[in-house]
Amino acid sequence: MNEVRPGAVLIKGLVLFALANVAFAYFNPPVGKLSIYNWLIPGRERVPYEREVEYYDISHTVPIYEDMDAMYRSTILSRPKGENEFRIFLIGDSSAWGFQLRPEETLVGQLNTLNLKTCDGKQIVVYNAAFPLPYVMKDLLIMDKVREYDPDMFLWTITLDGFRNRTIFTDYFLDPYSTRVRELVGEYQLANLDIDKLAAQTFWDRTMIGQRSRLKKMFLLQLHGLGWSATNLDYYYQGYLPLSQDQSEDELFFGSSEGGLGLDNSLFDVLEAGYRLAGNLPVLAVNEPIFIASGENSDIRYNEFYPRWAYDEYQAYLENWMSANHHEYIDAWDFLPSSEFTDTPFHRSPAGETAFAEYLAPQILNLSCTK
Amino acid sequence: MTIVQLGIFALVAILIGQLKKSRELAILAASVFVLFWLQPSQQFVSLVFWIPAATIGLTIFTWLLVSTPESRVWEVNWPSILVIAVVVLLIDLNQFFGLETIYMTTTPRLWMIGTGFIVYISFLMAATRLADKLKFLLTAVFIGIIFLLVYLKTPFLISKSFELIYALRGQESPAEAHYIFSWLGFSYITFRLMHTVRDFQTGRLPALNLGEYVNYVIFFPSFTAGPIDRAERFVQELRTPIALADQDWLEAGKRFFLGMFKKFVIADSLALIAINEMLVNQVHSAAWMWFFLYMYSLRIYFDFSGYTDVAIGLARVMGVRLPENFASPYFKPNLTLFWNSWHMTLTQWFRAYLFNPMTRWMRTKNISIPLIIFATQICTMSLIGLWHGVSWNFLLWGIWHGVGLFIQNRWSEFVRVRTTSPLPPRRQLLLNAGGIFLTFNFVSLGWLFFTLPSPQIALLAMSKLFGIGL
Repeated sequence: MNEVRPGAVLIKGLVLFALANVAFAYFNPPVGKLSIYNWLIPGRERVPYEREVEYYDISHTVPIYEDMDAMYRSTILSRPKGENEFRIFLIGDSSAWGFQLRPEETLVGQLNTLNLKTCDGKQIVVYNAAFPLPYVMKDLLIMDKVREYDPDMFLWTITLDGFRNRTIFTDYFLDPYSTRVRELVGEYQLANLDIDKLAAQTFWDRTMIGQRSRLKKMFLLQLHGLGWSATNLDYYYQGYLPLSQDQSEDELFFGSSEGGLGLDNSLFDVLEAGYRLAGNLPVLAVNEPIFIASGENSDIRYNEFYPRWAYDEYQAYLENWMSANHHEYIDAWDFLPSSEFTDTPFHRSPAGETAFAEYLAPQILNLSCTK
Repeated sequence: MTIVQLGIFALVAILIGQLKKSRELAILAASVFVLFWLQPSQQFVSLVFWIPAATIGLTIFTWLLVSTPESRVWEVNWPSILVIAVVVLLIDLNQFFGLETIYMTTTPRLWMIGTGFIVYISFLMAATRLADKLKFLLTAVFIGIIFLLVYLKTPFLISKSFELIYALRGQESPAEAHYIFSWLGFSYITFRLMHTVRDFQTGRLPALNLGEYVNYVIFFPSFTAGPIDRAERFVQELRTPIALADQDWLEAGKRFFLGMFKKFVIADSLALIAINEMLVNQVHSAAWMWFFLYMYSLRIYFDFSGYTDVAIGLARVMGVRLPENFASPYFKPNLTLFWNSWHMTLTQWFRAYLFNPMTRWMRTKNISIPLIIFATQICTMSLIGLWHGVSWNFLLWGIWHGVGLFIQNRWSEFVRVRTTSPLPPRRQLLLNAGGIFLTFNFVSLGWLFFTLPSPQIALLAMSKLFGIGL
């Protein structure tokens, strides 16, 4: 029998591990595309997301924003398109994703219940591609990604908060895609996006060790899929307190006072990039409904997010901008009564989603027929 | 224990394994340090220091009672006393090094340590003088350890005692008080102490010096999760001069890394898809319920046996061979064989100190054999259950296995007297496969009582498994 030397075993093991890391960094294999969803188990109806760490239990899972391949491969959006299918991808924030709502209660679920058909008889199927984060640059990245799943149209819900130029979210969502973000900035001349703080990926970052967090989350996503498959629950419904009609007398919007919103320097150029990126595909932008308070200080603020002056300024700017650029859009900001909002001034109730879907349906049908 | 902590343990173990001299003292120093290091945070922060200190105090006191006068001589024991004192003092002096954020504990003031030390030494000196005269002291210690274990395993008693302390202080007791008082490793320490006390009483315990005894009780690779070694075997390994061959290193490395893989990759992954209370309420399919239950069965095996592998690997590089604790338990064709291969050192302990003595005693009373078997199995398994925690769930888990063992024993006896010749190989193979299937499922169903928070949830899960209440 050959004598085995422990030192040699250790060195061989370390060398093989180092080689595997170098190969991984060099070839950058698309491991996110490996998924048991839509294969062994059903796909999710929206991307995995859970806010509270203590609720990362069996069926809910950690948000895996570092790998959009893994994120969208876990949803039904990545299934092959049916022959008679007209695909609409909903892009947006947490209200589009459907906080506090089961998948069938969300805007996507309600639109699909309406059983819409295009002029040429194709079945309209709306898919939830939203990620719960109000940030239009994130939306642009997602549109760029989900194009590979063959959409026929984009439905894009927006709000003032998503146009703020800030770095806290770039660290969070944009960092893993810094290369692609820089390409998009160059391609669409996005002058207002602050990309200086985006970290460039080093070789070390691309190794298995550097990517361990992403790889772990991908693995968890597959395991949590079993729980999802068994329970059909993808979110912890923890309940909420109704929003107060009374508001504070604070007139500031993220430190800005009236006249200081600076929308010329905000991310409206990203919105334009979205339309250009979609190319021939129709894009229906919707200024999403907000909670409009009626109690104390409601003459100062619409809600806890928006002082009246800021939102009014944004709304006027949006209208001018859309008109100047000849884009289709719906301003639904005051469409819903305050009773149809749940835990935040953006999140809608099931009844609110039903009404909102019925309100959007004619416009969707119109636009789908232009293709 | 975290991966980083286990990695540090491995480095320390390798260094100790290289020592030509003073290996026993180095293991002692490491074990005392780890005892303090791993102690989790407590409701009263000072307990993070005083609980491990009490473990050492109790261990030394028990040693005084179970050691012979020859093994208690100063010349033999002063190095061990010095090592323990220096490590404890260094841990306390940590407050002056500013390393409390790393060590994660709060140490008491020096005068408190000094006072505690003087009181303890006085107590020990008195005990030493009385030990040989007052034989009942040993029995009292034995019973005291059992009482302490029962107290630590009963959330109700801990809650009540906390409420009392808060009431005496004139404060309101936090609702979750019973969650934040834990004596790390006491379940295992209890068995080691009780084993030495009992064996000393029956004259089977070898003479052990202080270092050997403390090392046996708090040996750092195994004091939190076993295996439960026997003192005479452990000390033999400790006394044997170390000479590790390449094969020892390979074996140790293989066990250590296999254990890490089992625990941190397999078991921790399975934990995400193992049955829990939320799933019992959310799942509406019997097939999925069985799947999640099986995942729990695998998870608990890989978790526990993984820790055992790590402990065996760490000990091996220090020249100590710990006993095996698992031997493919889920591939055993009956429940008796399962319990002979699951947490083997625990079942051996109970067999030696409860099951066999109880059986012998009952046989002297002219009680029928089936009744003896029933009583001993139920008692033994119920106590094994309650050792995990004093609750209805653990008691039911113990009774489940006790009844299972009794039925299996009677069935085996029924078959044995009616079988005249060996079965054909193919039939025997089928019988074994059927036995493995039945045993695994019986054990898996038992885990419902073990892991779910109440008997009601466990029964709900059991009914859903059989398609009722979905």
